[in-house]
Amino acid sequence: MTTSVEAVVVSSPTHKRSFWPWRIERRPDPERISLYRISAVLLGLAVSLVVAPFFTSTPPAEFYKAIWSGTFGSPLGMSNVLTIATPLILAGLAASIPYRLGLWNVGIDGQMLMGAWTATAVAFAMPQAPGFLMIPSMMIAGMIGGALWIIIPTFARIVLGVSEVITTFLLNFVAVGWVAYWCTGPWYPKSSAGGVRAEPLPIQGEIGKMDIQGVVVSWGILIAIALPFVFWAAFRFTRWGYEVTMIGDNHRSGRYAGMNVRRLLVTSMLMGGLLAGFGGTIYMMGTSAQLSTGLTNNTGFNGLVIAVLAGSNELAVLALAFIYSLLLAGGGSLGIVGVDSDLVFAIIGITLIFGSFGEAYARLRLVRTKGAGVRSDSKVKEAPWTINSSH
Amino acid sequence: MRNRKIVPAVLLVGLVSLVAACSSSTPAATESAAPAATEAAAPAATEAASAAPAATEAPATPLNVTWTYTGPENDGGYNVINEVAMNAMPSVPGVTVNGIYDVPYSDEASQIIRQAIANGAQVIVDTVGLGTLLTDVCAENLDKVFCYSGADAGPQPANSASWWLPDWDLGYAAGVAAGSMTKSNIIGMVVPYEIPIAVQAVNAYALGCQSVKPECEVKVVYTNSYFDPPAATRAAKTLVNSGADVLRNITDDPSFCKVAEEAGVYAVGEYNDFSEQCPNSIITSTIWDFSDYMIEEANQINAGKFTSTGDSGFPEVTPLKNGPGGPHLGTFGAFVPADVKAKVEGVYTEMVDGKNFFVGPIYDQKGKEKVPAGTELDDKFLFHGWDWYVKGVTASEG
Repeated sequence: MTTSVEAVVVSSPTHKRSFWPWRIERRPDPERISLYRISAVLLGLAVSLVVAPFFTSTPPAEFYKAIWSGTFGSPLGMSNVLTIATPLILAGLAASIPYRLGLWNVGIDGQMLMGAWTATAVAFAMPQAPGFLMIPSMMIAGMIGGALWIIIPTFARIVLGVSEVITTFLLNFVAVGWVAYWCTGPWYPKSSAGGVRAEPLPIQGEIGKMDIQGVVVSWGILIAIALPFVFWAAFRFTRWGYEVTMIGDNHRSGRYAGMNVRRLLVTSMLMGGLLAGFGGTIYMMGTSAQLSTGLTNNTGFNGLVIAVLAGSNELAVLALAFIYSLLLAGGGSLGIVGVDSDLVFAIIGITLIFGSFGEAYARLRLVRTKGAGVRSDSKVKEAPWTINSSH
Repeated sequence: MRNRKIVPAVLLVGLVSLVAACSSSTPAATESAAPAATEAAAPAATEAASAAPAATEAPATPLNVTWTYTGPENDGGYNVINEVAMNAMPSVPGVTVNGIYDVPYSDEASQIIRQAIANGAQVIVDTVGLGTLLTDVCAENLDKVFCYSGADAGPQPANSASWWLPDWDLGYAAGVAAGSMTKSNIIGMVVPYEIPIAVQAVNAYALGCQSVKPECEVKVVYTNSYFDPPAATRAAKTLVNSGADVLRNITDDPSFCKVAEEAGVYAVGEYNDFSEQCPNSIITSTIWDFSDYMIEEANQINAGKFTSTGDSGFPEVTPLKNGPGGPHLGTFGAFVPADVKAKVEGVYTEMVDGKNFFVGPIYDQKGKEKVPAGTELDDKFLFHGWDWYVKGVTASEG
């Protein structure tokens, strides 16, 4: 694939006998993609929320009341939204940064767990240390743990060319197994008989909580909100950010431009792992303060979806992570009124499909073919996605 | 060049939805539990109220009870039997119940419980083993809520009680049943994690079996999840392949007995009565019926007599019973010889009458005597102190 594909613009009438008197064309000037995409996401959200109550036996009024009270409608709901958003924003960034270089970090859940595991190990190794020492040590340990968990996929990709999609994905299961071993073995709490989670962290290892008008959330959320801005700035004002933005997924052009593409690939992957590990760590330290295999609860996959929808824009990651948290928190409170909380994944799925339609709509358009079925001049070059491409 | 990302994006969305579908729950569970429960509750409550003697003239105090479950509604095993107890509670006037499913072992569990309390839940019954994820929230709401913390040995706040049942006795009875039927002298068990309730259940099963066949061996395969039917199925098949001819589970789903039916080996059901589902393999089932206990607790709360288990580190244990209402033995398979049935029932009746079958000498896996002859193991040790396997147990990861 080269850039010549971009240059193909089709402006001819149809050229094949066709059942369907329309054809898809690429728009010559796909602008405002983010606008289309975000509007489509919101439209999808609206449509699925209108339709959803028909698939439950809960009265619509109760359905919406539950979503409302689980999100904006109560301080508790808002606390929940912000608590969910904290690791989700970081997971979104952890996927988004490698994605800029065309790399897929599918192992965010594993990196989050390993970050939290490393942080827990550090905390248990220094149980008497004061908080000002323990909290930063745990955070750094979390970052290192997450970054270490992505080292093997990174080098497998760069040195051996092994797809990072497979390796990062499979390492999730290894991480869950590893954490399950520690949570049911060496760190199993004396006070439990049937649960599966580690001994709680020493009390000084917990992150403090803010209470704003009854909205209680750990101050980890402030870090999570600040980081997208930091990376947004980094991609505009640092050399690393400039190089990553420049080459995108076209590594060859970067090499021609004299950039050290390998170094960029390694740093952006490690940055992804580091952010994921950090996310898992601050989430654990700011909430239940105990390691468990259920800690991430698919946050990593949700972060990946956010990164894809946000398309290399850190501020869009922030916005979408917030929307996503609203949905997840609303879904949680649906579970309480007796609706299966998995319904929310259907809503998310529909929203996603709308989002990709929005993107397609921004790039492509439907053109009515005059006199359908008439074979036309065959010299005209076809768009690459029509079935019988000429190359 | 961004359009090239569309293909992997589509693949990825597929992958993500696949993972979500596999890891969360069955799609069939979209029906709500709450309306069904309240529908059932309303007539039952009014019936009970009208039938109640005139002595209790005061109107029924509304009591909103919320149950938390790991895994989906109707998981075919553990949740089903807990739902039986949950749906028995509305026979107490004023009690309404609802269940929350797929509660994870994470802070989300605490958030869900906080939300349920904000929505008016006055009693939380945990079947998951949430421990501090639950008791911390209870401690925040001392005047609002009563909690029942499943299988927890940690300190309980004043409004919380740990609750459980003597599953070690049930395990021993299951072992007697398995030992009476096994021909290979190898029996198998599908276990989620190597945690105290699992170790204790395996040991009880082994000792029960060895009481009939001293050379009886127990093979254990871990699945690393309470609810993962594919993993439980694989584990059960592994056990059959390694020679086990009686299967038992403490994972939540019924896959062990489906495998037993297919492979033509026996099984002992756990949690529910599986005799109808697996008529050719189920010798008997050990049924975790909590109904009487939960009804009694609802009455206690209404009477203002809730008692916390405090720092005792030991739960309120529902006593064994000879029939429904409490933990009991299920239906015996039609193929089970009368003497085997009589033997298992005999042992069980002795347990109901209070006999302790966990008496030394008990040896560890290496054959070292850990419990001297004549020493009885007490309930506290059986509940969560047993961290070594007895002689004849081999355990492996599934």
